[in-house]
Amino acid sequence: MDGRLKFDQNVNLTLTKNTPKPLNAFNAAYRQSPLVPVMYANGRYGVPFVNKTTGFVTYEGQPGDNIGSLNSIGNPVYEVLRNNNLQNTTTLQGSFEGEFKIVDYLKFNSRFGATKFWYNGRTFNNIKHGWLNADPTRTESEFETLRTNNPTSTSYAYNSLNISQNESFRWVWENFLTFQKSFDRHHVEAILGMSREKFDIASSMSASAYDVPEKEQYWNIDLANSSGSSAYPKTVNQTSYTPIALASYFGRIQYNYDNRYYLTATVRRDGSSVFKANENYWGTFPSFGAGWTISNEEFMQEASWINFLKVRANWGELGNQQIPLNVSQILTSPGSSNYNYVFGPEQTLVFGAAFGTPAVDLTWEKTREAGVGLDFGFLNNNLSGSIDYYHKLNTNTILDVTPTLNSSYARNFYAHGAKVLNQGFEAILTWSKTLSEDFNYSFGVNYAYNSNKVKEVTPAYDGATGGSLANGQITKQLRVGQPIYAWWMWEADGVWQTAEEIANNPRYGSPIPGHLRYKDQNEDGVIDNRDKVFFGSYIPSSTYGINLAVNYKKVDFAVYGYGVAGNKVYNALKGTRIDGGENITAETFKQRWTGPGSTNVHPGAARDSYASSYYLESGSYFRINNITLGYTFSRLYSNTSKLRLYVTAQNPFIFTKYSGFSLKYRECRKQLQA
Amino acid sequence: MKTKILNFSLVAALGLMTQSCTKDFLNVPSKEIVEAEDSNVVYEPESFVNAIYGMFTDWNYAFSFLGITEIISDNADKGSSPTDTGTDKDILDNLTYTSTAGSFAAMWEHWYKSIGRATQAIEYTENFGLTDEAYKNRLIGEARFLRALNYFYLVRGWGDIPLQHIDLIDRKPTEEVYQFIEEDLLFAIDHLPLKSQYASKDLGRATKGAAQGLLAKVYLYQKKWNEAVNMARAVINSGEYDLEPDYATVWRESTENGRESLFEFQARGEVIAHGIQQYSQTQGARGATGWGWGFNTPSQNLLEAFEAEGDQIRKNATIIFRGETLYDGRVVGESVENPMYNEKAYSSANGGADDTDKNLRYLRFAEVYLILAEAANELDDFATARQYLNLVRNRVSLPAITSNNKDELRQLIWKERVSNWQWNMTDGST
Repeated sequence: MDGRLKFDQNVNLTLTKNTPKPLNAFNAAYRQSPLVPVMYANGRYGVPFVNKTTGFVTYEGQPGDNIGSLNSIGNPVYEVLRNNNLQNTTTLQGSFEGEFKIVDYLKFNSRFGATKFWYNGRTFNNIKHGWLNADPTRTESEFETLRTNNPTSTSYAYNSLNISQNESFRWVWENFLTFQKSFDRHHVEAILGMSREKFDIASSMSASAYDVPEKEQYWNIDLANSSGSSAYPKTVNQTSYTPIALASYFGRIQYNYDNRYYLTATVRRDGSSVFKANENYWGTFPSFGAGWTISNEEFMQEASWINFLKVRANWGELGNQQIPLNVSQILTSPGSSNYNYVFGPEQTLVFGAAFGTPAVDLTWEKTREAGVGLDFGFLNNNLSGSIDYYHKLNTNTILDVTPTLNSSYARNFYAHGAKVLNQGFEAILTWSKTLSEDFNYSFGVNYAYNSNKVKEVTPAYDGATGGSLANGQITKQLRVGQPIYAWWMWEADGVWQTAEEIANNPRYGSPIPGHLRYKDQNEDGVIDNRDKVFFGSYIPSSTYGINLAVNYKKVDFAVYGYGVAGNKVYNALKGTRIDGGENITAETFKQRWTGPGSTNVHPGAARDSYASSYYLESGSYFRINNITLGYTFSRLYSNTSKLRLYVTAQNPFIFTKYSGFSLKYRECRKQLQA
Repeated sequence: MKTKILNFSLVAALGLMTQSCTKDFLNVPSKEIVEAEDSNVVYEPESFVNAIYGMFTDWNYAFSFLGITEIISDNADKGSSPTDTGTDKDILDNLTYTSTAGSFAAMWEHWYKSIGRATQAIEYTENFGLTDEAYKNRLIGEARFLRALNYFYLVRGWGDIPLQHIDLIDRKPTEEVYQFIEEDLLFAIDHLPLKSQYASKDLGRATKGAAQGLLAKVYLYQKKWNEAVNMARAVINSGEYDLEPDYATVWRESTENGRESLFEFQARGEVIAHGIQQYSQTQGARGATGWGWGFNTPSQNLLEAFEAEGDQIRKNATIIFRGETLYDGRVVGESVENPMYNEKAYSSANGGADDTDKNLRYLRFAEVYLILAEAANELDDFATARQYLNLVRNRVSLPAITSNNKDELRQLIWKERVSNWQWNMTDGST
C-alpha cells in the first residue's frame, strides 16, 4: 500500500483501591466543642451530652439533673473509626485508529475507542457498637434485651454488610474524510465526518445482610445471620441503566487567501437519545468565522513595530443535551418509600406505583454566540496578546422545574423555561524578552469579565428556589433580571438590643436580644418570605491570572497565580446552626453581641438559624497555585544528556478576606492533609 | 486482513448514514424506569391504590404535620431544646407564624399530591378493564375514601381551596369542597366491604365503616346534625366495632387495627416496610437515656385538664413523664431534656429508630360515640348525648354526666375531646 495505510492503537489499565473516610468527620472536627471528650472513662466515645443543671459537659449527674445535648454534632474520631468502606475500581481503556491516504490531498480516518469500568464497594457497619456509643449509659445487656424482644428489627442486629458492584461501558466511533489543498494563494481544508457514541451502558447490583461474623475475612453476604439467633432478611438490588446514544454528522470548510483573509464555516447535525419522549432527536448547529491578518497586508510592512495583528469575528450556535432521560414514567421503589405500604395482621409489605410527572417535550438547548476579537504581537513579538468580546445567549435553557404545590404530580420535571445571557470580555497580555543566551524572562496576565443574567423565565417557573442549608432554609432563587439562581434571603439589619426594641418592631419568630434583626423590605409589619431580597451571585464576575517565568543560565524559576472576584459565598461555618454549644472561631467569640450597645453587627452567643445577608461574604481570592525552581545539569554522559532537578510548591498561598473554610473546600482539605 | 477491516468499516459507516438506521440507534429503550405507556403491561390497578396509602408513611407526617395540627394547639408545645426551632415549629407554637411558614406549604403540597395519586388511581382502575365489578369498585372506593380524607384536612385548614381536577388556582367555596368530599364518601360507603368482609391480608384498607365514620365527622363539621347522627348510628349498628376495654392499651401495638379501630396509618417499622418516617423519633425523649428529638410535647394545659378531671388513666396513657418507667420496662431517665413527651407516638420496638412500627390512629370508635353525642345534643336529644358521652367516660372510670343543659353538655363533650391530646385533625378523642 506504499505506506498510505497507518494504524495506531493503545490499551490502558488502571486499578485503584480506596478506603474513603466521611467528609462529615472533617466538619464535625471543626464544629464539635472541645469540651466534649473523645472518649469517656468507661471506654465509650464522647457524645455532646451536657448536664444542664450543673453546666458540666458530661452525661453524669445527680438524680434529677437535667441532661441535654450541647449540640447535634457527632464525634469526629468515632465517625472516622466507625466508617468502614472499601472501594476497588478497574478501568480498561483502549482505542484503535486507522488512516488511509486515498490521494495526496484526501485521507480517510476511522477511530474506535472504548472504556470499561468496574467498581466494587463494601460497607461494614457495626450497629451494636454504634448503638452503645450513642449514649454512654447504654449497656450491652440492654441491647441484648431489645434484640430479644424485637427479633425482626434490624436496629438491633449486631452489624450490617453491604456489597455493591457496578460496571459501565462506553464506546465512540468516528469516521472522517479530510481534504487539504492549496491552489496558488488559495488554501482550502475541508472535513466531512460522522460519529456514533454510546455511554452509560451500565448496571449495578448491591446486596445487604445482617449479622456477618465480626472478623473481616468473613465479611460475605453468604455468612450473614451467623449468630444463630438471627434471621434478618438479605436484600438484593439490581438495575440496568438506560444508556445514552449520540449520533453526529459534521462538516467544516476552512479557507484562507494569502494568509490574509480567513473564512470558516462549520455545520453539525447532532442526535441524542435523551430526546426520545417526542422523538425530536436532532439539532443542527451552524457556525461561521472570519479573520483578517492586517499585518500581512502590504501597507502594514512599514510599521515595523507591528509583528502581528489580526481581527476576528464569529457567530454560531451550540447545542447541549445533558439532561437525564426525559420520559413519562411510572414511579416505584424497591426500598423504603411512600409508594409502598403494609396490610394484614402481620403488616405484610405491598408494593405500589404512581404516575410520575408527564414528560414535557424537550429539544436541544441552543446557545447563540457572537464575538469579535483581536490578536496582536508588537515590538519583535516581545509584547503579545489578545482581546475578545462575546455575547452568549442561551435561548431555551432547560430548567429542573418543581410542579405547582397543589398539582397531582410530585416529581420535578424538565422544561425549556428561560433565556440566560452571558456576556463579557477576555484579555491576555504577555511580555517576554530574551536578554542574552543566558537570560530570558516572561510575564503574563490574563483577565476575564463575565456578566450573567436571566433575561426571561416562563412565568410558572419563575421563583424556583435552591441552595438548601439542610435545615429548612433556602438561599437562592431564579428570577428575571438577576444572575441565575442568585442569592436570595433576608437582609440582616443590625442586632436586637433590647426586649423593648423587639416588641415594637416587625420580627420573625421569637427573637431575643442579641439575635439578628431582619429588614422589613415591604414595610408590611411582618417578616416573611416577601421580605427576602437578592444579593448577587455565587458566580465570579472577574477571573484573572498571572504567570512569571525566568531562566538564568541553568536555573529556571516560575510562578503561577489566579484569582476570582465579584462573587459571594455563604459562610457555612459562621453560618446557621440549630444549637449553640459548637466550637466557634475566636473572632466570632470576640465580636459577638454581649449586651445592649455592644455591637449592632454581630449576633450574640445565642443566635437563630435563619439564612440572612449577615452570612454572605465576598468570595474574592487570589491564589499562588504553583512556584517552581529548577536546575538543569547538562552533558552528563553525552552531549545531549540532561538532568533537571526541581522543587515545586502547590497552592502555597491564598489571599482572601473570606473567613470560612469551604471556599475551595477540597483544596483546603488537601492543604490540611499535606 | 487490515484492509478488509477498513473496507468493512467504510461500508458500515455508509450504512449508518441512512436516517432510518440512526433512528433505531437513538431510540434507546428505558431500562430502570417503566415508561407510562407500558404501565398496563406491568401494573395492576391495586398498585396505584396502594401508593395512595403509601403517602401516609412520609416524613411530612412526622414533623410538619405535628407543627400545624398539634404544636400550634393548646394541647402541645414545640418541645425539644429552646434553641432548636424545628424550622418553624417555634413560630407555630407561639402563633407568630405567617402564611409562608414552611410546615403549611409542606402539608398543603403533601395532601394535594395524595389527592393526585387518588385521582390517577381512579382513572387507571376505571380504564384498566377489570372484569370483577365488585373488586373494581372496591379499589375505586378506597381511592375515593382516601381522596376525601385528604380534602377534609385541606378544607378544615384553609376553607376555600382549589379542587384539583377543576383548576389549580381558582379556589372553590367551602360548601363545594364539602360536597365533593361527601360524594366520594357516599360512593365509598356503597362499594367498600365491611371490616369483617375483607380478606385477612387486606386488614388496614379503607372499609365501609371507616367511610361512614369519616362522613359522620364531615357532617358534624358542617353542622348537619341529623346526617351526622344517622351516619354515626350506622357505624354503631354495623356491630363491627367496640371500645377497647383497657384504655391504657389503646396506643400500643397490641390494639393496632383492633376492635376500636376504624382507620389507621399502617406501620411495620422495618426497612422497606417502614411506617411514618421518623414519627417516633421526632417525638421521642431527648437527651441522656432518651431516644429522640423531643418535639411535640404535651402542654401544661393538657396536663392540668387531665388532673382537673381526675383522669389518671388517660393521663398516664398519653404522657411520658421524666423519670417514668414505661409499660415495656424502658426507663426514662431523670435527665431527659423535657418534663413530658408524647406517649401516643412512642414505639416500644423501634424507639428512636428512623423507622417506626407505630400505627397512627386516624379514626377510632370512641370518636364516633362523641360525634353522635355532640350531634344529638344539638338536636336536643340530651339522653342520647349523655349515653354516648358516658360510654366513653365510663371506660376510664370517670363519673357519669347527668346534665340536662345543652350548652353545658356541649362544653363537656368538647372537653372530652380536648382532654384528649391530639386534637381534631388527627384523632380528637378519648
